[in-house]
Formats: sequence, C-alpha cells, structure tokens
Amino acid sequence: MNPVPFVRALLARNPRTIRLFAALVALAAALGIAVSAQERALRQGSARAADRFDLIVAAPGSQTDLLMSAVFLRPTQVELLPGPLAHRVLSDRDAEFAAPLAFGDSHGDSPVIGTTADFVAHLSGGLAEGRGFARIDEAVVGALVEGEIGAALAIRHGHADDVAAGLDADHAAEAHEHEHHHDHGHDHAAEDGHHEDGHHHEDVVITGRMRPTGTPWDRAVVVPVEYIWSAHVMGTGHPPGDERIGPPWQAELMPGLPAIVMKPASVADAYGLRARYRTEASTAFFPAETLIELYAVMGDATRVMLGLTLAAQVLIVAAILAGILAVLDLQRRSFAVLRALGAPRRYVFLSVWLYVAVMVLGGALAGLPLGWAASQLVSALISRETGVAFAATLGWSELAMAGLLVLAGFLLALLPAWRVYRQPVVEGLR
Amino acid sequence: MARLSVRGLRHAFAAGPVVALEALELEPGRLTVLTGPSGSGKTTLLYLLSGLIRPQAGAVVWDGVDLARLPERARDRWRRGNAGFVFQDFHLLPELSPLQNVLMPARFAAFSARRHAGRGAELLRRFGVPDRRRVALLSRGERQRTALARALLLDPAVVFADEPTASLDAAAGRGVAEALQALAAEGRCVIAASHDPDLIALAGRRLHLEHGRIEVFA
Ligand SMILES: Nc1ncnc2c1ncn2[C@@H]1O[C@H](COP(=O)(O)OP(=O)(O)OP(=O)(O)O)[C@@H](O)[C@H]1O
Ligand SMILES: [Mg+2]
Repeated sequence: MNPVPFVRALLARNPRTIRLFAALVALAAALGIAVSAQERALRQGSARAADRFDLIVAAPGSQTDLLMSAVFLRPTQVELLPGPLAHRVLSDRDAEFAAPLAFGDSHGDSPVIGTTADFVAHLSGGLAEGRGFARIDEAVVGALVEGEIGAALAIRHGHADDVAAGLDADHAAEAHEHEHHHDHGHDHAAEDGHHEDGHHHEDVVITGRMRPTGTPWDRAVVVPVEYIWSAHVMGTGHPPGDERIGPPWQAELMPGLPAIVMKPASVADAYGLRARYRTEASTAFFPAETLIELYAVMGDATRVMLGLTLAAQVLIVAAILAGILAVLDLQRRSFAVLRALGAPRRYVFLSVWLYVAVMVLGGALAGLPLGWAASQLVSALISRETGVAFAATLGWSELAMAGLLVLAGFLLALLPAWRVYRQPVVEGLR
Repeated sequence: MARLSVRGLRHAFAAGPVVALEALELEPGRLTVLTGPSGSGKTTLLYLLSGLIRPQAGAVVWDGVDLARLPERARDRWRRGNAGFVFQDFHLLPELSPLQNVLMPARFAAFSARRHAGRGAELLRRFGVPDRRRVALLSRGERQRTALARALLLDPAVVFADEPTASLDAAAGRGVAEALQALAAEGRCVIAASHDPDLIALAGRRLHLEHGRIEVFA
C-alpha cells in the first residue's frame, strides 16, 4: 500500500487552503514556543544580572524593592542604612569585599550610581577602555552610555519619581540647602556646606568605560560614592579637606547608604553574614534567592499565560479541524472512486491521516523559526526597556512543546480519517 | 473462465422496487449495455453487480462465491482483483499525470507500482493518451481513455462502465465505445449503462430497465 501519490494529489488540490491551515498550525506552535522561550530568557537574563550581587545589606524594607533598585537600577523608594552601621558592614572582615551603592541620581536616561572602584572592577571584570575613577568628579560609564572619554556629563540629582529617602531631588536646590542639611542630621559635620558648594551641580568627566555586562548597569554612570554623598550634602565619609575617594571611611563621618553589596568568601560565610545583618536595624538577603521567590510568584502568571496560550492553540486546532472536515467533504467523491476501484478502507484512512499529518508537521516545523523570531523580537523590546540582555533560545522544552502539538495533531488527524473511513462508497459516488 | 451470474436479485429503496432480476449471466467476451430512462435503476444495478451495494435479496455469484454474502472488506478485495470501473465524469485525479492515475489501483496493493509501470504506459499508448504532466491538461476523450486504462491496469475480468460516453462529443464517444467493445472481444465481461446509440450499436446484448422490469435483448 502506498498512499503517497494520492496524498500528493490531495495536497495539490487546495494549495491555498492547505497553506492557510499549515500557517495556523505554525502560529499555534510559534505562540507556545515564544511564550515558553521568553519566560526562560527572562529567568536567565535576570539571574545573570544578579550574578555579581552575592549578598545585599540595606536598611529594613522590601527585598524586592532593594533588588529592583540595586541590581536592576529601577527607581524605587529605599531607606538609608545609618552611617555607623554602614561603616561596620563595609569593614566586615568576613567578606571578600563589600561595596557601597548609592543611587537616585541620573544623567539623561542613565541612572547614576555611587560606589567604589573595586566594585566597578568586580562588576565589569575590567574596563573596555580608559581607566577607573580616581577623583570625586570622575565617572566610569556602562557600555551603552553615550559619551567619549574625557567628556563631561551633567548629573541631575534625584529622580523624578524619586528614590532613596534622603537622596532627594529637592536637595539640589541651593536655596533649601540649609534646612535639608539639617534634615540629614546628626552625623554630618558643618563642613559639608563647602563641599557641597564645590560639587553640587558639577559635571563629572568620563575616564573609562566598562565592558558590556548584559545588565542594566550597561546604561549606568558610575561615580565615586563620595560624589553622591556630597551632592546630597551628606559629607564624604572623609575628614573635611580630604579629597580621597574610596575606603576606608571614618565611622563617625560616614553618611547613610541605600545598599551595600558584599561578596562572601564561601557559602558558609554567606549564610553567616546574612544572619549577622538580618537584624532590627538592617536587612540582608541573597538577590538570587529573592529572584527565585519572585519567579515563584511570577510562576502563577506564567501558568496563566501558558493556559491562555493552550486555549488559543485548542481554538486554532478546532478551527483547522472543522476546516479540514469541510474540505474533505468536498473530496468525498475522490475517496469513493478509489473505493470503487477496490481500495481498502484502510487505504483512504491512511491517506487522510497522512494528509492532515503533513499539514500539522509542516506547520509545526515552520512554527519553530517563527516562534524563535517572535521571542527574539520580544526579548529585544524587553532588553531595550530594562537593559537586561535576554537571549531567547529554543531549548528542549520548546521542542517538546512543538512535539506535543504535533502529537496532538496526529491524534486529531484520526478524526477526519475515521470519518472518511466510515463514508459509504455509493453515497460518495453520487 | 469465470462469469458473473445473477439469481433472484431484488433491491428496493424506500420509494419502491427498483431492481428485480430473476437471472442473468454475464459471460466473458460480451459487451452488455444497460439502457432505460433516467431513474430506472441502471446505476443501481451496476453497483449491485460490482458489490458496492449488497442486495436485499438474491445472489451475485462469481466463481462460486456469492458477492452478496461477502463482508465489505472481501468485496473490496474482489473488486481490486476482478473489476474495473469507468465513470461518466472520469473521476481522475487531475493533479497527477495520466500514468500516475493509471497506476493508482496498483498503489492499493503494493508500495511500489514499478511492476505495473510498463503495463500502465502500454495501456496509455494503446488508447492514444499523450504523456502530460497533469491529467487536467488532457482533452475529455483522452481523460476518459485514461480512466479506461486505469480500470484495466490490474487486468480485470469484469469492466463496469456507468455512462462512459455521456460527457464526450460524438467522435470521442465513438472512440471509447470501440475501446469497450475491444475489451469485450479480448474475453472480458463488459457491462455499461448508456443511452449512447453508438455504444448500443456495438453491444452484444442489451438490457432494458423500466418500472423495475428488465427486458433482455440478445
Ligand atoms: N441510496 C439511495 N436511496 C434512495 N433512493 C435511491 C438511492 N440510490 C438511488 N435511488 C433511487 O433509485 C432510483 C434509480 O437510481 P439510479 O441512479 O440507479 O438510476 P439510473 O437509471 O442510473 O438513472 P440515470 O440514467 O439518471 O443515471 C432513482 O429513483 C433514485 O432516486
Ligand atoms: Mg445512473
């Protein structure tokens, strides 16, 4: 028995309809693939972005907010860790290193982050060009920030939708500087005033550019943490007149900090440090763990998405099935003629099954690149939005998903095949 | 040689008795033409004789086997091995070449039709069908002769034809009628339902159906 020539004839009969059906199958496959690949890309991309942030210590508050502001550089409201406590965390000997993170300012669309040269090196694994910052008014920029080495960048202090309490936009206005100075309180020396005069509206000069990291930091302008402190009239953590940047700072002069990143030397140290700073005065957490908790929450949304996708696929399949039954009704005479010529029932059964199976398989195969392209597109859009680089790839789960669709199609193809199998020959001949 | 024998055949649709045939022998070598007004049951009789319809009563015996008692699968097999069918509107697969169409009956039996390819090509030559990429490109007469070649591929002992010349012009119709007569002359049972005077003129026997009665003219 060889149904191939007959199937070929059937397929050639309504090429446009068949292409439409195959395109619908491709769409159904692509939809599932895109949703699944996208979800994986989001996880991988965000996990990679959190990679260099082993442990974050901050003032008590929402870990998700802290994750968003410290790792993904999204503007969120964050409390300050008081200076003396920050100083203690930064000088903890059980950490391989600890770096301050001060955020809230911006240059154009780029967030401006204050930290140390060590952290820049840790984050980017070396610079693509130039050198690290050595003075308070120097900056290292992310791979995607515009501006040549040596160019000056204007910094806006504070964010429109504001940020770290205490690093507030209004503080930029000189008219208010004294009352705010007062707000920032007890741990500031009066000398801040003149410091602030020197740096408040000052541009920073680009001295270097980080290697691409595929994280939101590619769009960041990174400056010495002292720049941010002094811009917000909080001192520099160093004695007045001391122009040094970076650690060590003086505990009693130390301004508050929104967050500190720590790199523990070992897993045991990591848990030790987290326990040490998970107190009433501070919170400590592993961003990777918080991400996993977020995924768990997002998992429900993902399930809903996948459910909707499945519903769409079922609808498409039902529409195709109805269409195929209608098309086959128009072909019933062809089947009857073959039967009159002596074709066994199983010959027409097999032919119809193959006919549908070819459409399903062709559609699903076309759906793979289509789904991949769709997830590339969505990845590109989300990357542009978040700065997190996503690589949506076709993995086993997407292939399995397409395989499942094909399998379902093969099973459903039994339906029209069965119908034609059951058709009385004589009625088809009329 | 085997022949098709009918005994006490009776088949009626709800509307009334259609076919009642006490006895009929379709012996090899004879072209039998069924005539009768529209609706008189010519097509129905062909379907009964070929085992496509199971009669309500009576027997259609081939080589000692009553087709009327065989299950559908066995009747399919009987047609595959012994019968060829030609229809008024050819019922070819227009997307395939004439040869591919002719080879269709071989596809039911085996994966490869190579064994039959030579015979298929020869039949097409014999009926003067030109080689074309698709049957849709053939003239109507050529198409009906292709259908004839298809019916003959597996060398059937019985050829059924339902109005095989009705959709052809006179010249093409004559060609097909002569071909049918030639098939009978080769020693096959050939039975055709037709109004075509040319075909009737070539018949070795005529069965006329009217009001459920069948008259036989030798
Ligand atoms: N499956 C069926 N159910 C009910 N009635 C049927 C069925 N098949 C045929 N008939 C009726 O039986 C009668 C004979 O039909 P048939 O097709 O055999 O006539 P015919 O002689 O071939 O006519 P024509 O010359 O128009 O082709 C008609 O009245 C038809 O309506
Ligand atoms: Mg008829």
